[in-house]
Amino acid sequence: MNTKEKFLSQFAFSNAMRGYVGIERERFLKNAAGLYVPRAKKFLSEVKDSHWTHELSACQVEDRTDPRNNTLELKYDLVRNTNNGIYAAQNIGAEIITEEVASFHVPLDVFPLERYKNIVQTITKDRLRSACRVAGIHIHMGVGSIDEAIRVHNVCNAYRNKLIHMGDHSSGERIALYKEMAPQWSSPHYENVEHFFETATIEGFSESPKQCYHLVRISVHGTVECRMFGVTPHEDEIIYWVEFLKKIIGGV
Amino acid sequence: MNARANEKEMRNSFRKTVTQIIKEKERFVKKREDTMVGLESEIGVFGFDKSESEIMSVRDAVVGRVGNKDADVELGAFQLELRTPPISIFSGNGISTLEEKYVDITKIATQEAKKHSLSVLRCGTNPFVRIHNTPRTKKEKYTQVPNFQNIHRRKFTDVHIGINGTSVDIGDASIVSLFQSFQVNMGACSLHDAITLMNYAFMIGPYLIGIGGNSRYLESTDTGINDLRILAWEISHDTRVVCDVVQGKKTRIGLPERYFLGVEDYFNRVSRYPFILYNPESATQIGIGLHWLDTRMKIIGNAAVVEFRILPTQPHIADEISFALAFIGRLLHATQTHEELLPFELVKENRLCALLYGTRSLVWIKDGGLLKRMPLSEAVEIEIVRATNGLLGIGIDEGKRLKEFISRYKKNSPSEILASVLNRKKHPEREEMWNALVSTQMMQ
Repeated sequence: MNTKEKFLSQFAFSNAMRGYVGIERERFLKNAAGLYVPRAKKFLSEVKDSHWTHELSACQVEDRTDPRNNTLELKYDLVRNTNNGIYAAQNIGAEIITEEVASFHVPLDVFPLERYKNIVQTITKDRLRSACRVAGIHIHMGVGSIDEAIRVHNVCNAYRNKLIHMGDHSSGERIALYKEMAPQWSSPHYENVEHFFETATIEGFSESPKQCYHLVRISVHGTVECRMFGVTPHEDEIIYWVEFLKKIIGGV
Repeated sequence: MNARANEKEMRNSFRKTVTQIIKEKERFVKKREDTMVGLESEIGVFGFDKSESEIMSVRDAVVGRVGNKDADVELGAFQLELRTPPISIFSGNGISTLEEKYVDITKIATQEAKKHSLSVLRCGTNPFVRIHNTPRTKKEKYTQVPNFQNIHRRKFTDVHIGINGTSVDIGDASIVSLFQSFQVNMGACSLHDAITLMNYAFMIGPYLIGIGGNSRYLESTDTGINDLRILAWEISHDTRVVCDVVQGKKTRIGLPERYFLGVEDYFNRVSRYPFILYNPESATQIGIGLHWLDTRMKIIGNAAVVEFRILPTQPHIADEISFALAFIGRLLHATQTHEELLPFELVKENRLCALLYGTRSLVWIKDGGLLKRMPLSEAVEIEIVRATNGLLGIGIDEGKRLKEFISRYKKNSPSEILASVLNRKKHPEREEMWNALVSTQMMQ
């Protein structure tokens, strides 16, 4: 297996998952006094729900929908996860908060995971602060092959500014901080598979595609992931984004 | 006059009338034992051997035979509505009287349809009729309202429905003419009581629709959904602009954003949406008539009436009576015990889960003062005990009937039974569908 083949083998494209959508939704934890609390670990042990997981900041948690090929079940997953999260947070004396940009003074505690500890060691405090301050919603669209991934990626990338605008609830602050956190945020238009591999090699994510922080990226889950959306408490707004994405990519 | 001016006039007229209603709130006050209950049910008439216009004339003949007092046409050219007059169920034989009347008019309608070689469809959706450009009853309102919804539907709305790998295009608002519901109208003791009952009904509705789902098939396609009627209505009638969606505003179908705080709050919500039709003298009826919530409050003369609309027509009218008793008893229990409402976010989840997954749902319920999540089949048993107690509180003992009813229904909703008879085929043939409907008594 040559290096390009090795790189591509990390992506789990599946024809069976074409047209499926998955959503990741980040939120902050605050206590009754309205202060951010680094209690993600405690929250996860309380919620006991595999749809919930950690983020780099210990003041953040993230829930995920199952991959769905229809918007009704996506919406149900979003509502169900939120309710589970609300009650788990209550039980630990906290609240889950939908906030696109946290205060400058958010604690910089990192979730206790080796991978996160390593990241912290390689970035500046300012970048860490930016990472800890932003919460977003990531939408994954399942694709069947690398060729299809490149096509869908390029369509979403062409609409990037429009999508940023649609998902912005912080007058651009979240995206500004995201760009600070991930200097290589700008996703290029991929000419072909070779160009994708070349970009990965130059930008240093060929061995670990998870380290690609482009606003639109081809993810190892066999999806094209749009990471530009901010957060909203309204499930219908998220579904609207999904519907818009489906429309522009032409019903994959 | 242009449409904008008409809307303004309708809104002004609506506000004027509801202000008067609120001012005269005393005229709606009555004792519980003086309130009435009425039932409404939409049924279809259908047969393969007749043309669309022939079916429509039989439908009109059925309405004529039952009588305009107890029957009326509906949006769909193949449907009609049957309704009992308001009857007091609190007096000695009230429930029997209601039941007898309901059985009687249903029997007349069924016999008349059969006389013309048509069958009666007792199902929440008509699986044989096309969705796009489906035949509608020729009335101005039945043209204007669906056309308005089609023109103003939000761009990019995904108008497909199906959760089992199928996908049916429901992008025509007249899809509603394929839907049939069973509705309970319960008189309230006051305007305030009507709002209280309506809020309780939002909370209770999901448990009942979970077991009572009976609209799963469209255009002979299995959508996999326990009850798609209101979900398809919401999608096909979503005329919100993007700004509304971003602000968390909902459509006028299904659930509102939250529980209602009072009668003004309710009327304010009704007046937020376009009236579409122009008739200032009937602005209140039109506004409320187009506010298709799972439960809504209507004003009829000196009565404030709560209309429970989430259930589809059931295969057996005896079961519809049981649903009506469960609903009324459960509301009575809630008022008798001053029950605390379930948080609205949980109602939203319960409802969506029950509509999608029926008896396989996991739902939230308050039990013994604790908030619990449990299988719907267990939750409805608790609900039925509460309903039984609510009825006992006014001296009506229907425990045996409700117990027998729930022991059958909690296992599978009618739509689950139909899917099982059809071996879960995604696209059953027309004849297979017909036979399955006959064998489940959804086609009579």
